[in-house]
Amino acid sequence: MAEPATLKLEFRLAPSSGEPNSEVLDDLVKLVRQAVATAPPDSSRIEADGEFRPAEGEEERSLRGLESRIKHRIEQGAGASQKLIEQHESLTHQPDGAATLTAEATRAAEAVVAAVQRARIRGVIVTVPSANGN
Amino acid sequence: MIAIDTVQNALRSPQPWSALDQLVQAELSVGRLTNQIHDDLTTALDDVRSAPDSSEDLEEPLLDTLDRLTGFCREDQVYRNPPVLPTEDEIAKLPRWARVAFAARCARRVLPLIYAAKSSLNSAQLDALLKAQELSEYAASVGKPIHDYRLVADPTMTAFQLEGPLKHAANACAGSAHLARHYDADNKNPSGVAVAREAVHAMDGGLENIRRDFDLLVRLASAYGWTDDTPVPPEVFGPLWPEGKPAGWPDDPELPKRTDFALEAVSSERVSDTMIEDEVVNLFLAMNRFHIARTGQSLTVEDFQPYLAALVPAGV
Repeated sequence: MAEPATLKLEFRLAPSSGEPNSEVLDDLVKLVRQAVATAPPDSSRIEADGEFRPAEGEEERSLRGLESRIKHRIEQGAGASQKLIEQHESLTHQPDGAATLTAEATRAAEAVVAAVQRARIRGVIVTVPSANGN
Repeated sequence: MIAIDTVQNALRSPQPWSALDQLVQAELSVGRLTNQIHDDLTTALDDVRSAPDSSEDLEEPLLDTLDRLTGFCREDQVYRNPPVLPTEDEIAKLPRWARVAFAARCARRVLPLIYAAKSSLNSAQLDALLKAQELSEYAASVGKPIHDYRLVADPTMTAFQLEGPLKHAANACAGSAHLARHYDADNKNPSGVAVAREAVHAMDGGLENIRRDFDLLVRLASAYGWTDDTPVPPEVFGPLWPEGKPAGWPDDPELPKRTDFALEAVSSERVSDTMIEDEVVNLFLAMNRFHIARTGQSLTVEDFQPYLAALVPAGV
């Protein structure tokens, strides 16, 4: 039996610096959609289509705690992120770096699909809101 | 065909996993497919099992290699097919709408060429080619053939009037619409190969991507038991060029202009805050890795907005 959804988090992802690359951002949107379209049909029992209202008062304070924990953990990962950026920079200057970057982008794309599907199996349905989808 | 003796020798070598890996890589490098190699090794397994010194330890590297060939292992260990066009036999094994979706995907890959040549086409020709691709994609996504095939111009005739890569791109569009329209249950229409070939000629490459699209459909059809009635939406394929489009390839004018994008994560009561936190962070890290691989820049998360189900009274 389907479980009713009780919580929805909305957030946005944007490049932390530099000019946004529409193509790459759109590819991320497509990867989320691919993950949803190719997820096992019985991978989620949550009815995600219900109505939601903004959290208020104490409930909002509690959910803000969730937000700050998420942000804190993302900030904790900044070191690893910086390392990836440096690897990328170094590869762009190597003769065979393009092939390595291509392979890494392909693997990273598969990891995005896997992350969305793993979340789904664990009861967190991730989607791109249709208003944002174009 | 891999000789059984070669497999037997590899299994009895000091490094049987590496020896088998070298065998498989050699086969892939000459264009053999993972399922063909799998069949060879399965035959060899029977032989290994009937050998006097047969044991589980002896079989283990071979069983692991078979798992890697079928994808029953970690994602980064899976053997991928070499970049060769799917054969007619392979395509014929796909369910009906997966075949149409594959053709529509091939045609979609080459649409930027058609947009880029807009000035050399009249509006009827342009419309015919774009509609042909769109209709085939739509037919696959709803699982219904195109009946009202009324275009301003005939895409096949349009393709006939063109030359070079543009002609191939136009043929791919026309061919995909043809597949979505015509169907005879006894005739597994083989022209999906022709559409893929036209796309490869138009791009002068792209075999790896086309093979990846095809292999994905094969895996999904098998995993979910798709039938000839199962609709296949274009979303199943994901981005056209997850590794970035080929150098010099024209921009897609349909690409939405984005400076960021929104995501929603919805959960039920039984999912704890820690689980939500873990999944959102895990997702962010995966997306960040992809973004860095493509642009060299990291992502940031912003504008968090929490919502509760409207049926939950405020303050509870």
